[in-house]
Amino acid sequence: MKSKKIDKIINSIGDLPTLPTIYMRLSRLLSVQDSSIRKISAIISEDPAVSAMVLRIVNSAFYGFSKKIGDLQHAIVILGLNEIKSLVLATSMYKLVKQFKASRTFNMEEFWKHSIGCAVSSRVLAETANIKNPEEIFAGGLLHDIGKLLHAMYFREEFDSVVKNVVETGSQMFESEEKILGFNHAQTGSALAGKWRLPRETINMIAYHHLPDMPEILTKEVAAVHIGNTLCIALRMGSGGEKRVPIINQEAWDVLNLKLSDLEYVMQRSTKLFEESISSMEF
Amino acid sequence: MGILNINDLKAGMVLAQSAVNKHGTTILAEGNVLTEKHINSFKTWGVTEVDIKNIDSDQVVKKEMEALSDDIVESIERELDEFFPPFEANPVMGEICKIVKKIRLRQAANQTSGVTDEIEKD
Repeated sequence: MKSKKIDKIINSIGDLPTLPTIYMRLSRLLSVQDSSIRKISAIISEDPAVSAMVLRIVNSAFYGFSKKIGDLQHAIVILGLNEIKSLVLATSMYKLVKQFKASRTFNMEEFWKHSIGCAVSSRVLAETANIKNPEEIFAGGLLHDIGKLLHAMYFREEFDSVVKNVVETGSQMFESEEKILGFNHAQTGSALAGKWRLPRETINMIAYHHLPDMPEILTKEVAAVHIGNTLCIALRMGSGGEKRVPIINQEAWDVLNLKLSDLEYVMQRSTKLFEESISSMEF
Repeated sequence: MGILNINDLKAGMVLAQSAVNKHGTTILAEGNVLTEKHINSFKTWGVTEVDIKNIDSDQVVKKEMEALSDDIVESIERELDEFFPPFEANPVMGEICKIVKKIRLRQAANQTSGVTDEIEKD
């Protein structure tokens, strides 16, 4: 389906979910040189849920401080700006997923875990392959299936049929969606990300995470999310509704320039980080 | 020497190297004999794996595998056959499937026995 038609579908939805503005404001602030910790802290403190999460994470066993840290500015210094950015996006996404009730066939908690699993696996791949912006790849991985959330919200019946069809046939979810809805979640998800004015590269990571529909240029970012998605499904980190592990595109693997022997490290480290992430963000 | 996950530790094991958390801070110095209290505090302080004297971690894995019955191994293989679609001539998928199988076998072994006890006595 043409992207214009997808836009039309997206535009026909009256109350599109919004990504809390805090993430975009923070991204803008971090992109300029002279952003001060005080300014960053001021933005974060406007959202009590995000502030609480930042403090909870910095005080978790993971960081192992003996004294409790109660001050947001102090927490930001310890975690670092990139970590804060990923954390703010994850918390925003968490609020979004939690907001609405699960459909009969789709488990939102499993979906949330799948999103975190893909974010973490993609980031570990990116770090191992020495890609320069792992936190952007975390964002792409976290949001890669956001289209499914839209379908679950606004195309309830069709979405239930899609989930049923995947279980019955073992086909990939985007194939069942194309058959039943006429479009897939990578298309609607990337259109929504466009509405949210997310960076071009984030939109591409969402749009091309399946990769049978090749982008003109296969970037490392897109390749990392494509492979991260397969890894988190293979490791059963939550579930986005797939019945079988999606096959990795060989070209995407080649783009990352990793050795096969790197995979075991990547998978073990991803599993560890995934478990730490979900234990600090209980559903 | 052998690196063990903290979930595989037993009281009485001896640290071959100091146990450190992810920041490199020493939590317990080398040479200490582990107690249950130590093992619990590793969890609290974010230590994920430690180096133990006179343990070969490959041997631990091998012994775990041997302890598994054919039925369990077969059922894991069957499950993965269904979970992974055919991926002929895709070495990346082959490797992923191999690693997932290894992880699943280890999990099954951990549920069925405490093999590390035996090795310690050897």
